[in-house]
Amino acid sequence: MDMNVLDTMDLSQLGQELSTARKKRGLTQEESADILGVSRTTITAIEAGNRRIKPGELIKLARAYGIPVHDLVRPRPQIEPFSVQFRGPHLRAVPVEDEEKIKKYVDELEDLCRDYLEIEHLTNSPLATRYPPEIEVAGHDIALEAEVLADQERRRLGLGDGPVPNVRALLEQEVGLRIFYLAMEPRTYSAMYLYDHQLGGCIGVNSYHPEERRRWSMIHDYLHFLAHRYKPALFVENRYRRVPEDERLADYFTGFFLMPTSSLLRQYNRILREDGTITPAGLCTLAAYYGVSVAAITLRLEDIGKLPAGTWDMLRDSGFKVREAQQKLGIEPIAAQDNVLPLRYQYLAVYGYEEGLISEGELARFLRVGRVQAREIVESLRRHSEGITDDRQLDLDLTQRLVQE
Amino acid sequence: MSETASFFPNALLLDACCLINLAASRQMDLILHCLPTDLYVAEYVFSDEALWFYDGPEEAFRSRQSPIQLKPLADAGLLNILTLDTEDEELAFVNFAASLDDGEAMTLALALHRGHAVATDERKAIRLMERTMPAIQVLTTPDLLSYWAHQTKPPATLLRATLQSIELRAKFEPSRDHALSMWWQQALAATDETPDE
Repeated sequence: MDMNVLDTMDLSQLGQELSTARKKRGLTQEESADILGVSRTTITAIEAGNRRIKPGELIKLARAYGIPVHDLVRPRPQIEPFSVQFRGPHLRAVPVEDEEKIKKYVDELEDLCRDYLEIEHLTNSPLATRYPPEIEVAGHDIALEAEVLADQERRRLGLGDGPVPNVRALLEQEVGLRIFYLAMEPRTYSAMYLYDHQLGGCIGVNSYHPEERRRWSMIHDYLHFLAHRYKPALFVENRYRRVPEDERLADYFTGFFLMPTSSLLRQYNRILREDGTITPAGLCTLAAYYGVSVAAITLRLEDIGKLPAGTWDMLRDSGFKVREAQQKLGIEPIAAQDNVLPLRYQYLAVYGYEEGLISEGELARFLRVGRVQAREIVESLRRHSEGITDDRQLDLDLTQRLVQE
Repeated sequence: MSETASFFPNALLLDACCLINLAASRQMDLILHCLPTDLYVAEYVFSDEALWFYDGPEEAFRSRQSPIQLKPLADAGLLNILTLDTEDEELAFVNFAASLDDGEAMTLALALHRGHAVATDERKAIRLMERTMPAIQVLTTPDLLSYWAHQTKPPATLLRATLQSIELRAKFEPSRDHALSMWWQQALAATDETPDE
């Protein structure tokens, strides 16, 4: 047998993991001491890394804390807990009864990001990023600054002024952000953003939202990455009585980024030429074209003076049913990018499995599915990457550099 | 006949991946009953892993997920549950847990210290066993199915349906370099008129 891992691993790191797990479970050191039949000072010493834990003790604590021993003893990247960032002012507008829930989602995002980093280390595939320097916002004219910034980013990313077909893929692949979908309740929570020096920009988006709303949330948080990079942000609908400046900037930026003025005017004029006027049906068509909500396109047109102020309020108050209208017009909802996990994350996990670096049990855990579903994902990604339908071994190195530096 | 039959171990620890495949075959009871060995499962795999397979009709097999019921097998004495009983076993488990998930690690730790063979298709676990406990015999799902087929000689249509069920409901098929890959493919293609080899 190989050497005893408990003799060779970093005791303070293990102690920290045990301490974190204990607190997440809501146990005191006294309670943990009772589990092991030792004194509280022994638990303190173990968590401080001053006393080597025995295998039997580790097994008992892992069970009591509800975590696998595997999570405690395998080599994992160490990152700063996300909850440290999401504290105090960042939860100020969160009702007290929601604080524990938000903490749960923050922890979930942290686990996912940490697993992402672990898979990258295992497969030797660091994330390539195209991060611009953090932008300094002057703050004189928020709308104008947002529009300039949006144009600048579109140019940097080579987007022109047309619709962005796949926002998630853009931010993950062209910028290098890490984006996960989390089932967050209450559903007023749209997204959370934070930056970590090892992970880069990380975003958790509410999976309960329709795709056009998720797209909005992702670009909204993208602005935070660009202009408020090191400040975590929680995007909550109707959170503020008086919207802070950085949130106003993010809202404006999102509108300009997803619906550039030049393109929007072109489309608006085309509809006028064809239909003679702009109708709710025209708004539905435009919304689908840009991948935004009907509310967003209407408000945007109000902002540029092409619709009277209050048009959206009037439509909403008159009982305008967007989904029904879209169905009558034969407009399909935007194809949902429903993967909880980034596609790259899945590919790397499957690659690690195919190379024997990750076991089936580990793969299922990384993919957050059962073993049978993990096997299905392996099969599906194998066929997708080879573009064939017959069964063949995956012999494509997914981590190979295609362009030599 | 598979070489497995000649060298069947006295005691066999069933890993999660094999259990899923056997359950998905829908012949699990029959297959386990025909194996000439004492059957064991690690306590973590028995209690903590939520093992299931697709159990819907063929045209909508994903419509139902059925949990794998190990308790009736244990109650009937067909399956014995093993826990870590010594400090050496606990140590081995913790060491293996650095490379495998808890169920896989417990299975290997028990196999190492009790000399039991292991039924697993898990490549990483098999490589780890080859490196750290080469004397421990490893059997895979195709080994178990092949043994059952040779011992009980089911009709070709039943054997084909059994293997198809494993592929459909557990999403498992042997790798192309498996010694029994050819046998598996031939069994899938056979009809009742196909002569036995």
